[in-house]
Amino acid sequence: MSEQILKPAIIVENISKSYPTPDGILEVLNDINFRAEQSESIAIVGVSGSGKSTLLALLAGLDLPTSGSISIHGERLSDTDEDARAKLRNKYIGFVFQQFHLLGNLSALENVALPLELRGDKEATQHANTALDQVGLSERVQHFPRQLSGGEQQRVALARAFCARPKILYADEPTGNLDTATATKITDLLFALNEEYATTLVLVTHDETLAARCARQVRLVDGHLIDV
Amino acid sequence: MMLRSPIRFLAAPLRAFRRDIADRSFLVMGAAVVIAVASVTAVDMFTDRVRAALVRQSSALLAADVVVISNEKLTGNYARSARSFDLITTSTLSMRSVVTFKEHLQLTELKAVEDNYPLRGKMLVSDTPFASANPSTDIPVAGTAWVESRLLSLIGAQVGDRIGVGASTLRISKILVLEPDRGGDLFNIAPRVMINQSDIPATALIAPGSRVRYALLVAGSPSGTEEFKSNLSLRDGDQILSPDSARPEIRNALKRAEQYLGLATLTTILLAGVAIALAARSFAAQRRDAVALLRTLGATRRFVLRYFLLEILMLGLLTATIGAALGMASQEIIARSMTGWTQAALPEPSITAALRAAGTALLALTGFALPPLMNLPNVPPLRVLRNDVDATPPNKFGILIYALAATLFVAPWRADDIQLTIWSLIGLVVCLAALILAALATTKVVTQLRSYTGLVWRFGVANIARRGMLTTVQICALGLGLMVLLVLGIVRNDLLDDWLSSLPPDAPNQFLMNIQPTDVSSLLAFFERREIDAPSFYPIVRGRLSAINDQPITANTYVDPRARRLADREFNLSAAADLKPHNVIVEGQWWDSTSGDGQFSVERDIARTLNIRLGDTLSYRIAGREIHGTVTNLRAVQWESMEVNFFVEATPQLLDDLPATFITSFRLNSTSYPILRELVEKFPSVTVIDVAALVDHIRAIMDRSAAAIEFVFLFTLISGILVLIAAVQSTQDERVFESALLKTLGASRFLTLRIMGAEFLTIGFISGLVAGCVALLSGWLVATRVLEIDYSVNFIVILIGIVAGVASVTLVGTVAIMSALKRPAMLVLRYRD
Repeated sequence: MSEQILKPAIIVENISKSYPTPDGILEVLNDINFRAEQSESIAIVGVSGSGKSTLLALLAGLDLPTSGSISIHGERLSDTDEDARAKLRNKYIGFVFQQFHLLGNLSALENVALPLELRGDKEATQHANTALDQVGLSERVQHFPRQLSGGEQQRVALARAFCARPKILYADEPTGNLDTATATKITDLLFALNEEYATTLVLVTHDETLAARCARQVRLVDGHLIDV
Repeated sequence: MMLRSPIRFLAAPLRAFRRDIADRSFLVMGAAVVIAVASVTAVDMFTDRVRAALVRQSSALLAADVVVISNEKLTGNYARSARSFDLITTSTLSMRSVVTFKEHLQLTELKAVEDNYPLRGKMLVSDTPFASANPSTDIPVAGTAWVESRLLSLIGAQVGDRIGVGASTLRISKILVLEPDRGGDLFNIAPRVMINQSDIPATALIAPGSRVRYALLVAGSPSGTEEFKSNLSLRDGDQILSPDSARPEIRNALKRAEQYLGLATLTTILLAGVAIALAARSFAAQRRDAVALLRTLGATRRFVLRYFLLEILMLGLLTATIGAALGMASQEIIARSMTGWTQAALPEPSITAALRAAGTALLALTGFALPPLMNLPNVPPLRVLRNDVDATPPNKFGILIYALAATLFVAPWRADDIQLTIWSLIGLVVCLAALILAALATTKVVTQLRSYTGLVWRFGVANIARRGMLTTVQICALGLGLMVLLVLGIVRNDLLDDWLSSLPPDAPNQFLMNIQPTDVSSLLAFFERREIDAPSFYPIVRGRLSAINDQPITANTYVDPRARRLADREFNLSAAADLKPHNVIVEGQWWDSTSGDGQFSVERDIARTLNIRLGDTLSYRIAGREIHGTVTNLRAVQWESMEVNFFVEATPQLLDDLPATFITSFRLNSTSYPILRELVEKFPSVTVIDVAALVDHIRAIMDRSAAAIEFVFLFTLISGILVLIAAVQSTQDERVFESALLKTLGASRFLTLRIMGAEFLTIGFISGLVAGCVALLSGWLVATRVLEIDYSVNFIVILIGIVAGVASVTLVGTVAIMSALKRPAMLVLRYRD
C-alpha cells in the first residue's frame, strides 16, 4: 500500500502524436515527457490548437500516442487495448468536461451514480446522493439535465467525477461554458473537492486565472511541453 | 466484475428501456415489430387452420382417412391390423356392370357397400330425379338400389321400378346424388348404382376374371391411422390411398389465396424490416455521445453491446407479445368472415403456430436492427472531446450481404412458394437498384439546378445535395415503401379483379358430354329456343397413351400412383386450332396453320407427372389405329375457370377421321333446372354433368379470400406508413438543428417551414416517380410470372405514385418538424453542443 502511494500518479515518456493530412504528416505533440505526483495539481495551458486536448486524450487513454509510453499508478496505459484502458479509467480516472456531458435521459442522481454502477458498486445511489449533497444539489437529485442551469450541470458533473473517488481527475476547460460568477463558484468547489480527496488534478485551460490556482503549470508550445 | 447478479445485469438496460419507450425511433421500431408479428401470426394461424380443415375435407373425398384398394378380394389381415390400432373399417367393391330395365341395357358404375359406409363425409340422396338432395346416414337396404337421375332418363325407369343387376332384380328406392368417394374424375361417363353388399352373391356378378375393385375404408385417430399406414405390408398390386388434398379446382383456388396472403405478409415483414433498420439507425446515431461517455467512464465494448442488445430484446419481446395477441385476434376475425371456406369446420387455432410465427418473425426483425447497434460499441471515447470523431461506418458491402441474408431468412418460410419468393426478391432488388440510381442522378441534377432557383428552393435543394448519402438512403426507403403500397393498393386491385374474373359470375356450371356429331346442330337449336347463349362444342377422341419417344408405356413404367392410373386409362384428347382462354403457354409455341400437322399440346402438370418433355414424340392408340405427334408446347390451365379444358390437345388434322364425340359447357340459373330434364329426354345419349355446387363453392372461396387478403393488406399498409415515418425520422435531428440555425439567422418560422417543405417535396417527387414505375413492372412480373394471369398495364399508377409520394412525404415530414419549429432556437443549439 505504502509502495503504491509513493508511485507517481502519471508518467509520460517520449510521447509523440501525429496525424496524416492531405499536406503530409501533422506533428501535434513531439517528444513529450511529463510526470505528476499523487495529489499534485497541474494546469496545462496553451493557445488554441496547441494540442492541449490531444494531450489530455492521451493521458486519459481516450487516444493512443504515435510513439512513447504513458503509465498511471504504475499501470501501462499506452500498450493496452481499448477495453483494458476503459477498465483503467473506471478504476483511476474521473473527468470534468467543458460541455458537461451529462446523459440527457438520466436524472442528476442517475448520472452521478453511473460510474459507480459500472464498477458494480451496490451502494451507488447512496454514494451519489451524498455527492450531490456535497455540491449543494440535494434538492435537485431527480431533475434532468435540461431542467438544470449550466452551473448546476457542471456541479452534477463534479459530483459524478468525485463520487467514484478517482485517483486522477482530468478537467477540460471546466469553466469554459459558464459566466464569471458561476465559474468562480465551480472552481472553488473543484479545488475544495480535490483537496478533500487528495486527487491528482490535471487541468487543461487557457484561462490564466484558473491555471494560477494549480500548484504547477506547464505550457504547450509547438508540440513541446515547457514548465512555466 | 461490473454487474454481478442477474437483476443488476438487467437493471441498466431495463432502466434505459423505460426511459426510451417514449423515444420516436424506439416507438417506430416497436410499432414495426407489432405490425409484422401480428400479420405473420394472423396469416400463419389462419392458414394452419385451413390446412387442417382441408385434410379433414380430403378425408371426406375418400370417405375414409385411409383406403386400401386391390383388384383381388382383400384378405382379413388389413382389417385386423386396422382394428388393432382402434380404427374402424368398412369395405366397398365396385365394378362396371350392365343394368337392364325392360328392353333397355345400360352400362353403369356399380358400387356395393356395407354398414358404416361412408366413414368420412356424407351421402346425398333424393326421392325424385333432379330434385334437391338431403344427406343420408343409411345405405341401401338389401334388395334395393340407389341410382343416379340420369340412369332413369337413359333407361326410362322411375323410382319404385325394379331393375336387373346381374342375376337378380333390385327395387329402385332412392336417387343417388353424391357419394363422397365418387373419385377425382368429374366426367365418369357411366351412371352410378349403389347396392347393399349382401346382394352381391345373388347377382352372380363376381366370377373368376371379373374386373372388380375391392376397397377397405379405414378411419380413426390421426396417430392410429399413421401407425396403421406405417405397419402395413401391402400385397403385390394392392395400393394405399391417403387424403391428397381437395379437388384440383378447389386446391388451385386455395393455393392462389395462400399465395396472395404469403405475398402480403412477405411484403409486410420486409417493409417492417426496412422501418426497423431505419429507426435503429436513428436510434444508434442519437446514442453515440452517450456511448462515448459510457466508454470514457470505463464501460467496455462488451458492456455497451450487451446493454443495447438487451434493451432491444426487451422491446422485441414486449412488442412481439402485443403483436402475437393482435395477430390472434385478427385471425379470429378472418376465420369468422371466412365461415364456410372449407366444407369442414375450421379446427381450433393452434397456439404452437402462433408462437412459431411470432418467434421467427421476432428473430428476423431484430436482425434488421443489428448492424447499427453492433457498431455502437465502436464509437471511440475520444468523441467526448472531439464531436467529429465517430465509429468507422460498417462496411457497405457487408451490410448489403447482411440485409440480403436477413431477407432470405424471412422470405422462403414466409412465401411458402419458391417461385413467388424469387420473383418478389427480384422485384425488390430491381426496385432498390432503380431507386439508388434515381437518387444518385437526382442529387447530381438538383445540385446543378439550385443556383437557378429562388431562396426557398435553393436552400431546400441544397439540403438534398449536402446530405448526399443520407438522401439516397431516404429516397430508397421512401420509394420502397411507396412502391409496395402502390403494388398492393392499386395493382393489387387489378390482380384480384383478374383472379376473380378467371371465374366470372356466369362461369359454366353444366357440362354436356357424349354428344354425337349429328346432335350438335339440334342442340344448338335447343339452346336458341330457350334463349341460352350458344356454347362452343369441342371434339373428344378417346385414346390410350401407348409410347413416348417410341418407348412403350404401361402402368408399370411409373412409380407415382397418379402416373400409373393415367397410363392405365384412356385420355380425352381434343383438337384445337387456337389456344383456349384460361390457357397460357409456359414452354414452346402454339401452332399455326403453317407449322405442321402432327403436334401435341400437353398440360404442364400432367407432363411433369408422365415425364413428358417438349420435343417428345407421343403415340396414342385410338380405335385400333396408332397416331404419332411431337409435343411442341406445354400449357398452364386455369382449371378453376370451369371452362372445358383438356390435358392433351392436338392439331386438328392429327385427329381427322377418328371417331369423336363432342363436349360443351354452359351456365344454367337455378330457376332453369327443368330444362335439364327436357334436354335429357330429348337427347338421351347425351350425358349431363351438373357442377353447380362445385362452381358455387369455388366462387365462395375466391370472394372470401379476397376479403381476407384485403384485411391482411391493412397490416402492409401500416408497415408502409411506418417506413415513411422512419425515413423522415432518420434526418430529423439534422432538420431540428438546421431550423434552429435558420431561425437564429433571422428566418421566420414560415420561411423555415417552406425551405424544409421544398426539400420534402423534391424527395417525395423522386421517390413517387420511381416507385410508380417499379410498381408497374412488379405488378406485371407478379401477374405474368407467378400468378399466371393476364395483366393490363395502367400508367395512371405512375401519376398516383408521384402524388402519393409528394403528399405523404410532405405531410409526414412537416408534421415531424412542426414540434421542432416551436422549440426555442437557443435551447436546440445549446443542447446540440
